[in-house]
Amino acid sequence: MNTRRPLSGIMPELKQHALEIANRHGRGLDDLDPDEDFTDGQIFDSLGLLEFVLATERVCGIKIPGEDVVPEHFGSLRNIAEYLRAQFGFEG
Amino acid sequence: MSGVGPIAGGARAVLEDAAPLVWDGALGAREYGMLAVSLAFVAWILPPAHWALFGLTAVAVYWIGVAPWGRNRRLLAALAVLALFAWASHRFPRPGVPLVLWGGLGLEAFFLLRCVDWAVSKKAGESAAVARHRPGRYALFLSFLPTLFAGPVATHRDFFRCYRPRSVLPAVELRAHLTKIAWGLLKFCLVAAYLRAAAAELRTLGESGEALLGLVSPWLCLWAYVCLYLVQLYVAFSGFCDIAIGVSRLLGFHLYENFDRPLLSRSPVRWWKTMHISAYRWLMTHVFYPYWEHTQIVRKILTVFLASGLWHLAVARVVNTDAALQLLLAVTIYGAAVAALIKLAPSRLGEAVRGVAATRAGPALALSQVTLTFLFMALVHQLFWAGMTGRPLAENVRLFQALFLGA
Repeated sequence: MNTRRPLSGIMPELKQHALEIANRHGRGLDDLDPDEDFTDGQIFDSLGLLEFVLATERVCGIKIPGEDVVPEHFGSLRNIAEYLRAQFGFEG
Repeated sequence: MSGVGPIAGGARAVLEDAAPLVWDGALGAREYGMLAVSLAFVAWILPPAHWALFGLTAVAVYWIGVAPWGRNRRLLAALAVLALFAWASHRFPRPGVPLVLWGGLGLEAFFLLRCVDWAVSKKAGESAAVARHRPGRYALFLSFLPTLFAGPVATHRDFFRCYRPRSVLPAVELRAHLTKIAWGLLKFCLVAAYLRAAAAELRTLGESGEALLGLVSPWLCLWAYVCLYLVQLYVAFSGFCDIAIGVSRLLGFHLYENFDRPLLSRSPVRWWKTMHISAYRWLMTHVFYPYWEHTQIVRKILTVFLASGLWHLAVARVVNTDAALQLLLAVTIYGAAVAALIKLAPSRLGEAVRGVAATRAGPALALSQVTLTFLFMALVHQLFWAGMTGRPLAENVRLFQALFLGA
């Protein structure tokens, strides 16, 4: 039995964290597109992305290996959802 | 910590306006043509002994990159091959390449980065049949002529992700790319050359104890030399990259900008992120994120700078004790400054600085930050380039004594 929270509940929380981190770094965003690129410096810089990875670990109750912090997995909210689904078995 | 400035809008605007990526990785006449021209040029500029060296290394790294091993094993194997390559390339010294930035010193440097990226970027469980594994794609990625000598060093993923092959370019895009190339030529061929000559003249005056025009003291001439040396480095590098990016975009590869006004940085942290952005991204992807815990920021940063120092040392023109000492000292000082500033950013001191920035004293603070950062980076680059070009340590010791002690 999958005891993990469904992605439908996790993703809005992660989006909120992403907006908070981006705005703390001076971006002034109201919303984030699911395909908005996190890795080209427009949303986060490198430290902001690390903050977001830590937030993802807290929210999802998982440990994310350092070598998984790549654009394929953390390039956008959509990529993150796919990564959580594929690597950790999150559903929904 | 000052926030990173936005990547210059040109690349993003082009990517957003371009057609969605439809290229499936199968090389056609266009791509084979680019590959043929790139390989022909490499064969022309390199002595025959180097053909075998580069060729065998490329083949070995290809097989490592597609091997059914874990990431760490592929990385270690690639580093072993590339260490051998670096050692051998110093045994067969090659002539400089005319008309190219730094006489082509960057050729081996960027080759190393592309090889490591290829070797480690295979996803776990990826089958051998995917487009990524096609040898032709790999060869084009390794040898793409416009970016061979000075980057930008795109990762394998970014390189093909930004490829938008089109037979006819809209006039507005064509104009933008040609303007970029022209601007790059002006910077690289004229402005940088003039600045380099002026810097050399200032150094000669400073070291001989003569005043410039009878007004500017030798001490000030030496400081002016140190500052102008950094400016000419940046102008030459960014000019050459402008040419490379403009030509790449004409060929369909919409590479990111490689600089974002680093000379106006208010801290070495921002300088780090905006001077040679492609190398910064490469180091983030392959060194910063994968190693240490996510909270061990200082260790991550110092590891990045150590990796950068070793990379530069591997391709320095002359590898001896003086070169290694100066190069590694430069990256250590730079890395320590970046780590310290990032650590201090959330502290009371950081808060106080941000508080002052929001007052009427803000512009004066900004100017002093830019000035101090510029002077710091100018001194770091003196050490660094002495290491890269094999200048004796004693020369730099005399220079620094003159700058700080007036001796």
